[in-house]
Amino acid sequence: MKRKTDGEGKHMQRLQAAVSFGLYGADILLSFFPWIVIGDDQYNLFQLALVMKDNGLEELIAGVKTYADMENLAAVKAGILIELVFFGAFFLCSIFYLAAVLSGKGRKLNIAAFGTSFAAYYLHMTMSGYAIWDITTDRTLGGVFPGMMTLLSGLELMTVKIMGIWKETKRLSEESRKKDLREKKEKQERLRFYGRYSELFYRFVWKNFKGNWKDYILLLLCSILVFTFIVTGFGLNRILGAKSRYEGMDQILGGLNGVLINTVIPLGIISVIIIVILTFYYLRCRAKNYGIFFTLGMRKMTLQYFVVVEFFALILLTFVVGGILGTGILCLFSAKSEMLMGEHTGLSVLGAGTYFSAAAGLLLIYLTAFMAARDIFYDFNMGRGTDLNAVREEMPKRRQTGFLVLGLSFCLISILRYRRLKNFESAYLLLLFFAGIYITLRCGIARWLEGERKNAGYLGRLMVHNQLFHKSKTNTRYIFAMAVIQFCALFYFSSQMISVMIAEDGDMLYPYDIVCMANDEDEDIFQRMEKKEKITRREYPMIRVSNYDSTEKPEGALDVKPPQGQHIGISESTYHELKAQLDADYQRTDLHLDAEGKRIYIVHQQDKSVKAQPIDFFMSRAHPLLHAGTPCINASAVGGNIEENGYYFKDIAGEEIGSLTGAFRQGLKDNLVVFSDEYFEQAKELWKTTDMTSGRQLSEDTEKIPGVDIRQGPSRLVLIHTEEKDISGLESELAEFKERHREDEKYDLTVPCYYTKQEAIRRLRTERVMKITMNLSLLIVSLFVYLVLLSVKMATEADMVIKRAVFLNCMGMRQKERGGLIRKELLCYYYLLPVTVAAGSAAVYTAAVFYARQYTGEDILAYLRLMALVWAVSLAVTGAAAFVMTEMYVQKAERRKEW
Amino acid sequence: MVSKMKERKPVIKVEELYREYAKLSQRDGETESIKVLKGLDFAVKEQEFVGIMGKSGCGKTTLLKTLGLIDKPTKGTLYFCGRDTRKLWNDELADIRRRKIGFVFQDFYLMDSLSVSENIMLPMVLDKKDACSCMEKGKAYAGQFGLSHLMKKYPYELSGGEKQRVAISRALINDPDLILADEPTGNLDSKSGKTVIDALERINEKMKKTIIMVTHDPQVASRCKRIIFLKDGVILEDLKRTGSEDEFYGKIIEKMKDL
Repeated sequence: MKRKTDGEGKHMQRLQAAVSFGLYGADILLSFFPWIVIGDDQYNLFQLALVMKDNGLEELIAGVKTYADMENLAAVKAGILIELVFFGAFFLCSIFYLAAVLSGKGRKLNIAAFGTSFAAYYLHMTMSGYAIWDITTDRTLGGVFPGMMTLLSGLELMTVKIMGIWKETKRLSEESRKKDLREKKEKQERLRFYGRYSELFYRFVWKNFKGNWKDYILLLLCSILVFTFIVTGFGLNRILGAKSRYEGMDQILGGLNGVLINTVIPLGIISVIIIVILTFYYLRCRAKNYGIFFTLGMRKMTLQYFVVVEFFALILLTFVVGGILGTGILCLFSAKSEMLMGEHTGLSVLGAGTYFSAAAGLLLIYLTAFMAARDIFYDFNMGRGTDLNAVREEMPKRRQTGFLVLGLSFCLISILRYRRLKNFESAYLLLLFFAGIYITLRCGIARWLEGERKNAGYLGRLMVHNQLFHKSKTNTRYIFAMAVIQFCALFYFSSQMISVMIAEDGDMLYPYDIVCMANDEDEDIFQRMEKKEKITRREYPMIRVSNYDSTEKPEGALDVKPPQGQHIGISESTYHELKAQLDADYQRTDLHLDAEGKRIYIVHQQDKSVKAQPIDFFMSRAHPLLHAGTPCINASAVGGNIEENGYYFKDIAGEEIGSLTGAFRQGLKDNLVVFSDEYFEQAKELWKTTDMTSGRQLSEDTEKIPGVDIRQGPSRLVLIHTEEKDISGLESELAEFKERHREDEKYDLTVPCYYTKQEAIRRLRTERVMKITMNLSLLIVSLFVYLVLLSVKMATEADMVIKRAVFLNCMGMRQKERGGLIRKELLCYYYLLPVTVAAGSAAVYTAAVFYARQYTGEDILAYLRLMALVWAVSLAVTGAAAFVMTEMYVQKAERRKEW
Repeated sequence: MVSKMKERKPVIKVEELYREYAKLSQRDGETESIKVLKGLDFAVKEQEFVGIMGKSGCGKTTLLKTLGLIDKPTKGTLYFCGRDTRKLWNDELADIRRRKIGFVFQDFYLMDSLSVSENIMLPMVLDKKDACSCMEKGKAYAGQFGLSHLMKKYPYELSGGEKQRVAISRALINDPDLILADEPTGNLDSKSGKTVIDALERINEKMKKTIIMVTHDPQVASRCKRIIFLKDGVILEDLKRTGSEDEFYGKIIEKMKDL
């Protein structure tokens, strides 16, 4: 069917015709332009054809220097003729095309015209030696003009096509728009729901919401608690994280940020667990009522609106109340910290960014919770024939023993590895342990229940085991979650808190008042210091030792150069002297070091509260990758032999945890690396032949320019005793010393050229207060989360327990027995079992920590005394709370049964 | 009368109705498709009282959920009062559920937080009717089903039979074309069950409402005018009542042996 051309179509056709006439008109005119220049004469295509016909080619080009193949003139003539034919064909096509456009009889000829022009141009440019281009003396004009013709015809073809498509696209889009509009209108008409809801509607919705008021309050309280902690966490980060007025704050912040990170990560995990569980539980409670509304015909949008309003109010209240509480805690912290650390610490002020970040954090947690509970949104469990609570969960049957062995192996591997210093008490090992515990619990409980069923007394214990058997997956998960939470409280948080409490005091950790990493040129400064104040100076030779990777990040991203650490390299003799300085009874023993420097002895300079950590985290931590010298910024272990950069894997002959010069960087940096005296003498000279950026050995003397190719780094370890009051008198000398050693600090500002005891003790005090506060808070939160889990479990099973109580009553079971059944079920499986698993594991892990941190008998005793207290309080509080909750639950079940 | 019967239009008409569920197999972890309804064809006309019978798991409740527009068929067509429900938007389905269908469930599905009168009025309130007419009509229906003295009570204070009567009143309040009842006597003792089935029969005969009821009980089923027997997701028999209630009961018992 021929489509009726409307006004717009005619307009488009006219436009297309105008374009065709414009472009092809130009093409035709170009055909008459004399662009073929031969000597002094110029010809257009027609003139060339005529001249060639009349005079022949030879005469045409006689006396003119051309590029044609003059030895083969017949071929040149043939080539030119072919080209002229194509140009002629193009000319004719153009004429006929314009005629066709004028008469409105289709547009296909422009394809033929473009084809001939393209062919003519192609021949013109490619028939080297046999084309018109080769007889023209003006090559530019000869090249440009035929190209112009092709270009114009191509442009016409494209423009006209695009105009056609544009027309069609516009028509289709208009049709689609009209269709959408029609559908929208129809939808609006069909879905119109006139009128307003009566006051009764809002009253019903409110009453319905009030029906789950207790659950809402529980969710709200937990939400506020979580948000308070998030605000506090972000706030502390802001307060302590911003640049301080004092340079020393950099060191303090390193430690404090570590404490914060250690706090925020477990707190985040606990927050997500608690919010997800409570949101899931709340939505499950509300699902029945949402389902009734849905079935009775409430529109989904209206229903969703009420769900959104409920959660919007919850989140708004959380923001306001949690924000106020968090700010209060932060104000309290600021006030107390000024008191503890002094006003000069210069804490930063809270900003709106803190609250925005905290709010984003909470919203992210809720998003996770909603994603976990998404099925409830999709299906309000209406009219479902099956009672989900009645569906039995399968117990693991196949390869039960295999999985049990696997789970136990995970636990064993985790514990054995955890006790090794090189594994830095890694959180990954704890995750492996949790996986092992889950598998063990899942398969162990299944195996035990199966065994019980074969037992003669099985029927007597049937009721107690029934719920665990019937809902094995859900209940194992509850037991697992409770055990993990209790483990965190009894081990992870309590060990961090207790180890701080038993850690050495400042005097033991920092035996010297000032520690300087100096070189020979600094002698004048020390002499001035001696003249100015009463100081005692000790000096030992040292070298800087760099380790390749000072981050805990797991290896894998080898294409990135990890940040290197810096330590103090000393000789074995120096080590013995340092030891003797601190202990008058010290007996010198051989460290078994070698003259090649392959074997080293390490003194991890840190206190007892800091986790055991290796000196280098690259690849095999049992063999640290070390370099005798300052860090080489271009050294890379990727795709090459790192030993070419002067970094060697060392064997650890022995290691100890303690402080000989000062635990200023708490085991992360500035540890002591002890070499044999023979090797130390060689290592002292290595800098003279080592490229300072790549670490490669330099052979030519011209390559050994100090400060350009080579650099010594600190060579003297200067340990100063002085009175605290005199340190202020040395400020100008210390400032000058720092200025001279700017280059040494350039790579890493957290490894300064000198430390003072005064400053370090201030930092230590802050860190310890923070660590104790944070871990105590987290311990309390963990215990609270355990109780929340227990209450959620009780609430979700309440209906079943009541029905069972009715049934057992009908069957003649006495009230005391019924209560005993509930008590046994809850207290045995959901208090004693998780607590036993958690306490047993926590005890083993605590022993692993003692081993890893090389605690002495005295340390262990002091630790155990505090641990006993913390454990007793924690277990008693949770036990009492669990007992009270169980009693209330028993009463509830019996009360509801009566009617 | 006969000519009038012939004029009755179908309230529900299903053609080649299929419903499948995807289920995750616990053994190999793969999803398997479970066919619950396998190509059902039937129609229910105005004022009919149809019973649906079958063994547990044969698809009765799934069918009722589909007829009640709570669930959508996987394949096939469902016409409600002549309208193809596949072509309706979700909100239109909600409107039909609110205005044209009344639901009575075995578990009553009453809101514990609302009183008896509020539960009865709920569908009208959701339909944006004004408060006065809601209360007036609520009282009238409560009176009809002997609930006037319980208006201020809450569902947890009622007996099973009373709860079910509240549910029936709620189902009727918007004057629907169709009542769907899923084992309405399943949770009740025989006396309360009789009261409920009497009420449903009265609704069918006096109020001229179409009722589709799922039941296991042949005694209750014998009060229907027609029984659709389902077996493994297909219609085994479409039995119409002829003769007395006792004769029909006998036929049902006979047919149940084939289920």
